[in-house]
Amino acid sequence: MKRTARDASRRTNDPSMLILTSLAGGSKHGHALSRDIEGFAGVVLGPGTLYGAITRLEERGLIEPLESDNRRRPYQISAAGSAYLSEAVSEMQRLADEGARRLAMANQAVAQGRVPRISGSPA
Amino acid sequence: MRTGDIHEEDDPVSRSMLRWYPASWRDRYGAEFGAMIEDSLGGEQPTMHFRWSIMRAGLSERLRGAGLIGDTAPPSARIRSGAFTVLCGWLLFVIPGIVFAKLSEHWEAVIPRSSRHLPAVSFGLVQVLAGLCVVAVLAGMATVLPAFVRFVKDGGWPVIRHQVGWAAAATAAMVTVSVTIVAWAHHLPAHLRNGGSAPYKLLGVAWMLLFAVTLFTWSRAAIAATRRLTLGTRQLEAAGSLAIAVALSMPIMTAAAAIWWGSIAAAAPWFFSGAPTGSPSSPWVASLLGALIVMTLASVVGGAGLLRITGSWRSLHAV
Repeated sequence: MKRTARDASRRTNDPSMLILTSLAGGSKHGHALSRDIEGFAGVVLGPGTLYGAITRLEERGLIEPLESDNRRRPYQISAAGSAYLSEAVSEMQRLADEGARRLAMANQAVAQGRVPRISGSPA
Repeated sequence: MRTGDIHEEDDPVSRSMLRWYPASWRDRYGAEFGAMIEDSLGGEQPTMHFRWSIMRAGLSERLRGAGLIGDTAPPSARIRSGAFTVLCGWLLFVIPGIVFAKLSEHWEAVIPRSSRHLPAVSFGLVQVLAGLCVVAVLAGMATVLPAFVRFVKDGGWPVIRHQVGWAAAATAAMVTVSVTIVAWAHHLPAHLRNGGSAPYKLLGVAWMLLFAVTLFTWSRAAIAATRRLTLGTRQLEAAGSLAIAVALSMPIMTAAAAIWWGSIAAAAPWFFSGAPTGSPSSPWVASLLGALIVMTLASVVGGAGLLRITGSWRSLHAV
């Protein structure tokens, strides 16, 4: 399926993507997930948003609940979730690589004096 | 513990916030979600933003559970909920429709013959479409009736008994007030029937409120029953098509009612105040304006249902 760049850029702040990324580093319960996401992405997910995303991810079989002897139930990423995350990361990587390549070309053109430097852009 | 009960180990703050979520969701996630709330708050009181975030998420989960939003519910559930949204819009439309019918009584008698064409066409359109919508709603009910009978035979009655009981009580109260109004009206002279008697007017308002409560309680009972019915693809298609027709009719009727008002206001503004023909009068009528606003709101509700149905239509055949 063809996805737009907008879809790819949206994914970076999508709670589902943030949760999958966090769980790719190991199983965690709700509060640990929230702290981990805040740590690596700087995004604070409220309990409502976090559990809404957990519900959807579990429905889609992308994460799995683990047994727990207390109320703090941990989750782990499933095989389908790993495949989905891998595809999404590759897509974002392609977008990032393309962005970096074009920025490098633009900077090179400015350095060679072929195009004027855009006002406000770094020298 | 009953289905959806709040866990005893949750603290009072978690318990109060969990109530925003549907019972089925609480059964699955309630305990861990309560623990997460406690961990997030760390013994402090929740901020308004925190409460609002959970309230919004809980209501969203309720709408999702009813198949009204999201794409995780199967297409059949989405079409069913779309049809119900249209039905709710229609029930909301009926009340201002009655107000419009009452306010437009005998309009032909006061408007000059030369100015009668536009109001006649728009008024006729409202009447024809309203009639067709009533037929469509009844046909929709007939479509799901066999499934409803099966549901009751298979032991579904206890599930809806409570809601049907309330609806029957509201209907009985409305019928009682209706009989009282009719009996009273026969003993009142015309000027007292048409706004001259405050107690009679008050009874009219009570009837309108009871009518709204009756519609609401029956809709609630219908939703409780229909969400549990097993409907085939053809029944869903029929119900969905009828709902689409009703949803499309509502904005047309609203526009036609507004055109009727505008044309009467231009040709015979005295009609609205009951003043003698030809006397200067204001065409602004608060109740008619209110009726049109509610009609517009009902059309928006119907439009939301229409989008839900059409958005899921193709998926119904894909599964």
